[in-house]
Amino acid sequence: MSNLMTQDLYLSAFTARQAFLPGQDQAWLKDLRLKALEHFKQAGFPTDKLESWKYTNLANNLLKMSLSFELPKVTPSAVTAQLKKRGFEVEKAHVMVFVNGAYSAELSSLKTLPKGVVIQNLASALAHETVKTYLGQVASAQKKAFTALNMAYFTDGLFLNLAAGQLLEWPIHVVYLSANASQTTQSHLRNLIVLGNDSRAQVIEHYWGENVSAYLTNAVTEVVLSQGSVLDHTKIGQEDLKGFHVGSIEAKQNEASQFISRTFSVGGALTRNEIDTTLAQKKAESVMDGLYLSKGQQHVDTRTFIDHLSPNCNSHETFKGVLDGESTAIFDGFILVRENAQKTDARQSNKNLQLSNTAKVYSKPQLQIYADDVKCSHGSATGQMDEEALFYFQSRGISRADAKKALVYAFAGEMVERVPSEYLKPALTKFVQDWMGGAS
Amino acid sequence: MKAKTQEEPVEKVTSEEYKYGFVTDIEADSAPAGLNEDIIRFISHKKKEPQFLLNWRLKAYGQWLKMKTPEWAFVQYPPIDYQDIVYYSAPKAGPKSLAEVDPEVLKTFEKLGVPMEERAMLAGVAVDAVFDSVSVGTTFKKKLGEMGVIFCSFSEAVQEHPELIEQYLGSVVPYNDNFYATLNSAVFTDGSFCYIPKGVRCPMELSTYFRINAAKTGQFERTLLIADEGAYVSYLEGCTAPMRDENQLHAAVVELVAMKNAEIKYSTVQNWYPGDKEGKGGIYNFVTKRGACRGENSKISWTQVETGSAITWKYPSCILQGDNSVGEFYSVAVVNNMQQADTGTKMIHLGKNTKSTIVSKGISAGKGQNTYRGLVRIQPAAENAHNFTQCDSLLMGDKCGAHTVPYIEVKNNSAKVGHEASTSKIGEDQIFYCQQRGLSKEDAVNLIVNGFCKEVFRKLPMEFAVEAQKLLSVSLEGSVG
Repeated sequence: MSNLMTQDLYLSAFTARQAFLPGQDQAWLKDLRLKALEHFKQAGFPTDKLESWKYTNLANNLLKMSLSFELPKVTPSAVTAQLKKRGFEVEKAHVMVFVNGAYSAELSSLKTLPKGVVIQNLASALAHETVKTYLGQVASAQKKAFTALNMAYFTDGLFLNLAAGQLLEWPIHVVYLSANASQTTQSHLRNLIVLGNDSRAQVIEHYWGENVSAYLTNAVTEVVLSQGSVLDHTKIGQEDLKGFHVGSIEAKQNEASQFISRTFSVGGALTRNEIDTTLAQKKAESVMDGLYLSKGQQHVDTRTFIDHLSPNCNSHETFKGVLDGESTAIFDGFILVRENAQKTDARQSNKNLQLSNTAKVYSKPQLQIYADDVKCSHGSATGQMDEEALFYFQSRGISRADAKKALVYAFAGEMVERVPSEYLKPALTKFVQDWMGGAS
Repeated sequence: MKAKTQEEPVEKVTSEEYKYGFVTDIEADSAPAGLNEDIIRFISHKKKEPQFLLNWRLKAYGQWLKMKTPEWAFVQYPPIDYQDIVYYSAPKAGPKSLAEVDPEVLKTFEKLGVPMEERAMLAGVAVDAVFDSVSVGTTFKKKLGEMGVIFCSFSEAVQEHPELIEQYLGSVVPYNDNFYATLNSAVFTDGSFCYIPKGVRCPMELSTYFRINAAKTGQFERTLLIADEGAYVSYLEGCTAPMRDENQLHAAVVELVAMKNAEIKYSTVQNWYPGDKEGKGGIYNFVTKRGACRGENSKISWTQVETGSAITWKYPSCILQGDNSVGEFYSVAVVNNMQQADTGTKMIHLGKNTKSTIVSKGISAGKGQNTYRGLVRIQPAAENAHNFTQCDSLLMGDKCGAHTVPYIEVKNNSAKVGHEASTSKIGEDQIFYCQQRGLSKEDAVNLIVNGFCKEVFRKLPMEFAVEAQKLLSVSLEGSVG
């Protein structure tokens, strides 16, 4: 079954696909899926007429594809070896692997877990009371068309639940692999992270493609942070150039919780990352960091939304981009400080380095402020390589190419330097260096 | 004359429509409320316009019918009934003496320090009775005429210089540009026209304030200003004294054209009636202002101080076509009580080495909502373009809002584009510092606010700057403490 991506296709295919989706025995979920489909019917695929999709037009690329609903069973190359090659010390992490949207127990390696820690694939946890309580509550199907589509069609994903006071020692490294060989595919992945009071976890969402035909990854992550909990979340996008990635992370933060979100993106023909957080209770803190590196015809679109609902909350947002070739980058950052959110400290910064004169940057840092006792600032800068700095290097006998690499690394590396995790740092350093190896 | 030869077809066309309606009204001074093709023909006929202008108006009207009211701005107002507006009426007589003027307005004049004789004129009292503006106007005109500067009302220009109007009208803001500009193109009744010939440096600041009948340009005003090669002009629009007007909707269009080496400095002080404390009855100011830097080394500079109107919706923009051309935008926007302002600028870089600077200061008090919305676009051909943007917001009171919506689009890597914005309230420590040196709280706030706006005030012509400072303190009166 392979048809052009149209709204009608998704509406009509649902009845047939339903039997293959997990949770057939859960009436509440069936209901959620149908409601989400209804929302998708209302919204349709986003067009560039929508302000939030102004610079990303799917009509000429994604919506021209024919993507199969079938999930081919492929056994990919040793994932562990792949991860090691990419610089991860996998012995020190809980590794979960999803291939083409389905959980692979044999490729995953979950270490022994203490009581009060649940790390499971979502499809097998649907009877869990926490899942029933929170699924679809934070990432509502009403707001975004792709989130609605995801709710209707999701097959699997990560479910993490920590009881109060649980401090998870090792990071959870979740790999979402697209390896569809000759068949086009689409995976709708859903992750749910619920942290109890004063608990702490580190999660890495890692998307990559190998040996693929065209595919779409539509990933939604819901995060619920109870009082005093801390989530360190990193999303690494290394999709194949034949891949389209549409991802949305939505978090709800309760009192004094901390949400650290990092987005590192190099892959994909088209990548759309949305990160939303609601600082629902006082003293919550949010850090959003991001780095996107693009070349060729790549299109990378980042949209963030920080909703300051309560007083005494902080948010710090830093996104950097390096663009080469004819690639396009969009940064649309939105900070909303509501009437009640006095003593807010919100900072946002977006910096772009253009390596070629055909790359395009669209930056839209927005502030909407309804409270008066606040400190809010945003900055955006777009520029090119500093000729004087290049000259300085060259005058000391360093080739222009090497000098360029050093300067790009100095710019992009800041985002890596800020990562405290010993597990991530070497891999992310490699991530940036590997990209530069291929850049002009 | 071109105008004469074109009169005939005008007669022919304009006489046609009367078979459809209101024949008896042809000679009347006012058109009935409502908008249709007949009304447009009526306006054009009344103003004895050449055929090309009528055609242009009708083209705009046809386009307007297909357009929808823009809804993207952060402003809220009940839908406007466009059929309930009188699109043409002869100037009305104002109050006969100062005694008939609203005492609130007089009080404000007092605070602003407006000279006695000017108060009457500003309040709309028939001018020649109290203030001999005619003589001021004529001496002005004579001097300008000697230098070849044309400065007159739009209607006069249509009669006397139709070739210039035909050449430049709509060349910067086309008739189909946006909802309000298109409406304006269809129904504008008057405005200002200014042409500075090659190499002339206009000897004085041109001001609508001195132009005779300027106060009666109506709610759909059209301004066209052309600075030919090497010319310079500084143009002042509006005035600091509060302007009352029975028309709620104002949709003006301002077009500026700067040729090679020319410079235009356009300053606006807008203080229209903002409505009462609940926001009732204030003016809706929906303006399209745009300047084109056509030639090399040309420069257009917009400076605005916006304190009035219930709703302000305007984005003075620069199209930087010529190489090395420069665009500037300096703005102070104040909202108090229920006022809403959605204002900013667009800088479109097309030519090489083009530069633009944006400094926007927003002050929100009461329940006011203030939005900066701006676009900086560097097109692929714009090598070495530079832009610097700074927009700061000051919040006074916990019910107001300050919003920043910048769009930055860079399509050339030799560009340097920077945007900075901050939002904060007046620091308690700053007020305390002033108070312990003997200033009252209100004076302290004024001092701090004026400091906040200094960068923009510095760009205003001298006398305007002084008045603008006073205006600011009047606008923010009672918003502290």
